[in-house]
Amino acid sequence: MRARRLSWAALAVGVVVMLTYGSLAAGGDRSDSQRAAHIARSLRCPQCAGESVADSNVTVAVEMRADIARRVDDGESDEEILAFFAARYGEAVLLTPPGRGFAALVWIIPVIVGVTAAAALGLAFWRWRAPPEAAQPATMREDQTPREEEALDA
Amino acid sequence: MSNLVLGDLGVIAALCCASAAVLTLGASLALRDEGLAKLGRALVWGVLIGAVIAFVALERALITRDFTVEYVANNGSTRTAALFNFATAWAALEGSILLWGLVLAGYLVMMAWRFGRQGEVRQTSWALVCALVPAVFFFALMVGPADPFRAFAAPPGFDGPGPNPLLQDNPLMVVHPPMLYLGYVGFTVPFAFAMASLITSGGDERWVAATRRWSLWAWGFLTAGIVLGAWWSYDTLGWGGYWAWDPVENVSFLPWLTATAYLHSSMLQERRGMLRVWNISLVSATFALTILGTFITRSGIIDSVHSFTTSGIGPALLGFFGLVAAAVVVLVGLRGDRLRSPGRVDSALSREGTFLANNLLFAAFALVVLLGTVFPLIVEAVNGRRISVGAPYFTRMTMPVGLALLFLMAAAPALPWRAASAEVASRRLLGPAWTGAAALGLALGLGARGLAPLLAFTLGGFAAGAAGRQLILAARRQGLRGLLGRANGGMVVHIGVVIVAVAFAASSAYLQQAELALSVGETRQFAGHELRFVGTETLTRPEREELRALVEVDGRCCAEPAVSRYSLRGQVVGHPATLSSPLRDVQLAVVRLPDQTDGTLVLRAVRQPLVVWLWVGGAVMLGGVLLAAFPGRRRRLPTDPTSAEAVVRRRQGGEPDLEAAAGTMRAGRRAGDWLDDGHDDGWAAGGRLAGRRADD
Repeated sequence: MRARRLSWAALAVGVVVMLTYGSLAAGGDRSDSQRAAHIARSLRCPQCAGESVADSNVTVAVEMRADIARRVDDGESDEEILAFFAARYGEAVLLTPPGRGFAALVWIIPVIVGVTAAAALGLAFWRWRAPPEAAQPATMREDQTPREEEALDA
Repeated sequence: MSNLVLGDLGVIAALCCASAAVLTLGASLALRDEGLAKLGRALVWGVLIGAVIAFVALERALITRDFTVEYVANNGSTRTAALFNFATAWAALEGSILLWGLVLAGYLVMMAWRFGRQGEVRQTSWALVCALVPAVFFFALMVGPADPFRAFAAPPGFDGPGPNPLLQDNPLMVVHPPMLYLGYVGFTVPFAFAMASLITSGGDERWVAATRRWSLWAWGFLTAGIVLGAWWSYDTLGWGGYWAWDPVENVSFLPWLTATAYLHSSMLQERRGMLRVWNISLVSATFALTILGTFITRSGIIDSVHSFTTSGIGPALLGFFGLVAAAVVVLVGLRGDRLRSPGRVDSALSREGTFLANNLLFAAFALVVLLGTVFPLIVEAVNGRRISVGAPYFTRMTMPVGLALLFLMAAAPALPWRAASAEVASRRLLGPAWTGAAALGLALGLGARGLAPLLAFTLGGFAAGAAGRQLILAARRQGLRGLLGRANGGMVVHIGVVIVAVAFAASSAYLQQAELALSVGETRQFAGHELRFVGTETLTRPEREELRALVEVDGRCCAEPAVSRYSLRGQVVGHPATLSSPLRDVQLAVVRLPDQTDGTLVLRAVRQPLVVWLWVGGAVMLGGVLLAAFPGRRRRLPTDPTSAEAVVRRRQGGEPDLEAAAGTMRAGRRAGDWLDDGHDDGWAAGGRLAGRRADD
């Protein structure tokens, strides 16, 4: 019992340390080619049916990839490059929907619905709480055999 | 007999039989006449016979290159290889609607046969009516806007263009569409029974138990269809793209999400009588989404890489979708008062609690995918602005949901039904939690970085540990037989899902890609691999000319990325070369072939870890479905289908909850009358419990 608590604590510390290390160690600058590939993946190829610039082999996509690579080389920021292509080919070239105006609803609706539903479920759990005298025996003993455990589970 | 006449006869016979069956079954329900019900069930065989005749006529027309059939003139050719010529039957709109009709007719016959013998007559009749209405709709499409047997006046020496080159390129063309359709159409069965149950008795538990395996099979087929589609797309498109959140991919994924939610929530209804309205909504949503998906794929209103036909059947499909949605809403509205569930959840920390959370997450997942897919249309309709919603949106929005689902997959199997103390949860979850930590350590050791993928590996390990624990417990108790049945087959499916999730996270997070220009003999480095351009070769086939680049990879000759030019359609299709290994895939695709003016080859190279495990995980999932479909061990100890309270009170020596016992007894007997099937779970336990109480 005590040992288990210690084990959980060790586990929690270990996982947090490893996750922190693993996410910070990645924090270095992305290489130019990674940046260019990332930008190409967030642009729609203007002449294709639903492929990104990174995915398509159409001439315009090949040219756009070269253009992106050159702009990355020139030190333009991701936003500047995306804005350039949006100005040239129209807003629909951006695969990330805008965060302003009516179109922002695509980001907001799922969050609102998700949070509301989670709150409703939480409220339902709270209202369903078993009366105290009933809750006790329904839980299980510490020393259950796997067979008993199965019987209660199945 | 000419193929045109034969095909038309088949379609019309199927349409007439389906309509006649609806009328006969309707009359049998109105007049309470069992003879008419039997006749109606017999007519269902006519639908299948008609569909088979039409399908055979289409195949015969394709195989004999009968260009008097417009479909063959448009999609067939004398140069198409036999295998793809056979699959051309579903390469274009009319043929795929016919395949849909054929599959639906097959399911209808199985329904009539299976439930005609042991089902409750009224329920079966209503269910057949509900499944026949879509059949009438689809065969009517084949008489009207999607007629596969239109005549064509072929001039002498005429040859068709063949199917779209992308569809005569990979043998998966033969398997993937039928699998997808078996999955899509399969959900008609649970949907029909849900509707029948609403109409006849106000939505109790029996339809859930009766259609349990049907839903499971349909889910398995749909899973297979989606995984095979991803594999095909990976093999053909050549940018490491097995999943691109393309509209057509999304609409096949939507019914999968709602069906997966249903497979979990249906257990709550079977055991506890809960979530009646919700389950009916999920099953109806699954069915309606298959129609909506067909509409989006076939109407061409949204651009997609995988969309090969556009047509005028859009309005009809949209209308039918609206009809289904309206029918469900009206029926649930009318019967809503009878649907109030007796059950409740005793604790959030229980199997039920996690299933509810699971359903919330799957619903949220489906909402994100649906909204993202149709949102550009909505925005354009509202303010004329043209926007795109693509992979960056879906990745960002679905990742938290996916991670939360992995966490639930870890927690849920370890939690017992009804309620668990924190003690129990802590004891059972400790082992799996250590597997999660071990997975994290291993990933870090292999050089994986970044929060999101590392979280996916940790939670994946946690979930796999929890599923493994259940399987080990079951195997220790009963040997290999313990792996059969829904609970443990489900755990095998979970392991498959974890494999897919880990492979997905790794392959998308650690994708490396580059474009390389090479002259003959030149060597270039790419992501730790050495690529040398050896030369080109040309291969001439009747339907196309294939130009291959020979590329030596790490000293081994040769990967052969190629490009094909199809003679009649003039279309150019790439054939990337994939070098697979358990740890990583390297894919090479030709961007530009050398020619007289410029001797350099431009290659796109993509390196992704663990891609092979996507397909392995898919296969494990299907193995799990097979295990889950077998009847497992009969339960020795009863479980309480309505609430824990009755048991608690009994254990405390109080009065047994007679009302609840009587209710369960009724449910058990009704279920027993209706269908002697699926005893491993749900109502059978309820029936035995009721019996034992009655003995008390």
